[in-house]
Amino acid sequence: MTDWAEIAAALSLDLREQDRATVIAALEKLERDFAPLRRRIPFDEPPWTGPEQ
Amino acid sequence: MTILEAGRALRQKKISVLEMVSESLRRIERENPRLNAFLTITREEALARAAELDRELARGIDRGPLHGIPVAHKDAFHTKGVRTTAGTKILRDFIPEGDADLVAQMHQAGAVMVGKTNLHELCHGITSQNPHFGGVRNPRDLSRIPGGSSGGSGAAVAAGLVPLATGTDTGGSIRIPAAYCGVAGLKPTFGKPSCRGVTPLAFTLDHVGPMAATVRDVAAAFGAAPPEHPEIRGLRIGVPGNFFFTGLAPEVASALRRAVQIAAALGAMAGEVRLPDPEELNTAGRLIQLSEAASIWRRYRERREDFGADVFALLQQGLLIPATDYVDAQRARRVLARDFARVWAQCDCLLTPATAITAPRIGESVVSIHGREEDVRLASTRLTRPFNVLGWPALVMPCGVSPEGLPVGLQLAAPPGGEETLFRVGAALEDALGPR
Repeated sequence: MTDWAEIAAALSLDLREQDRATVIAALEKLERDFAPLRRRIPFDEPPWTGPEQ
Repeated sequence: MTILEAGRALRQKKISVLEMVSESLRRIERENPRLNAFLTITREEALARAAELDRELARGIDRGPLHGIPVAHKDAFHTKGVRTTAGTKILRDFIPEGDADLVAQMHQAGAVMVGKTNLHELCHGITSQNPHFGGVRNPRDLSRIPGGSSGGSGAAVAAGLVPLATGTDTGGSIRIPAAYCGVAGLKPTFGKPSCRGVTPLAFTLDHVGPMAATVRDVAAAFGAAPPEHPEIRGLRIGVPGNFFFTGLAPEVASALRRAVQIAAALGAMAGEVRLPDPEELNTAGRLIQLSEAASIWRRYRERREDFGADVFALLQQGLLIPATDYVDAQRARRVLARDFARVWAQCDCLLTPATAITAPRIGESVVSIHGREEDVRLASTRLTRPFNVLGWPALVMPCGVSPEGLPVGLQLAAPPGGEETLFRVGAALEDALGPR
């Protein structure tokens, strides 16, 4: 898992004690949820640019 | 009075534009102290414009269905010479030099701006309880939120203050207040109409669209012909067997079951379809929205005290997401868009609930659904956000009320460019469901 507190410190982000748990918990969940999806992206898949009609 | 009713009355000379606009202003002045739906009221400009539009009609100039219709614009839309706050203290004195594209289009079509509506700060939330300008109250029950972020627009239409309002929608911000306030709202296909001149939240997820009392009014405001005798016999309406009907409050589930039965009774082929997992769309969407919003608002990151705590926490999350994760989310989005588009081989449109719950109480952050606790933000957005990520058009309309008298919202989605199908199905259901 990413150490979000360490990234915040490296970016000099003022992550205050009262917000730390909420922000980190949300990012940990996002990271966990995104991992299986990321594994399915084909190597040469470009980013989305709009719906195809 | 709906847009179409007002248009008929106007052309039959039963009412003038000036009378219509004056009545709208009277209602706003009477109701706004309890609803807080408006941040700015443009009384003098509206009355002057109304008189001008009456003179045009007298000369035989008719701009179409929006001629003389009072409209309220969400305070994220730039309005020339009129303060545009986007619900943030940072922009509390910002006066734009020009109109947003949609504002300009509606002005050209004859709509009369009567004011700017309150919203969730930066459009970055769903409660519309704004820490700088006060919270919006739901006219159906003043102890409840109107939804958001276009909460002022939803409340203004539901309370009959205006027949038409505009909203923005990045994860459901038109459709959630439409559902919670019991009005109709359209999130069009991505990019149509343009978001130029609208304070952005997330460039690749932002949409703009109309909110009104009926589906036909929304169609008229979108520039489409409102269906007169909508026929849906033989139309394939897909009812997702996975995700969308899971974890619903009982009153939402029963209203939706009834709507599906009505669609079938009207001759539509309402059948179950299987979708890939929409939760993956929500994950990619959240990652993209957090990153893009943080990119836009990072210049103010030192002004913590100028943000509400909820919005600042979201901006901090976005600032921490690596660039590679953002790009991967956009790449995954393309994969998902391809997978989801296969559903159009099975059906012509999708029918889903708009939200898992009815309007929560002000201050409520967690709701219980079948004994399971869920964050109000997730219970409100999990069924709307997928269509922002896909860029498909989605229409929300009321389909019933809970035992407490709260509206339940139904959502219809179509392939890109399929707004006409949404209006057709929506109008047919509206007729069959009975008076609003």
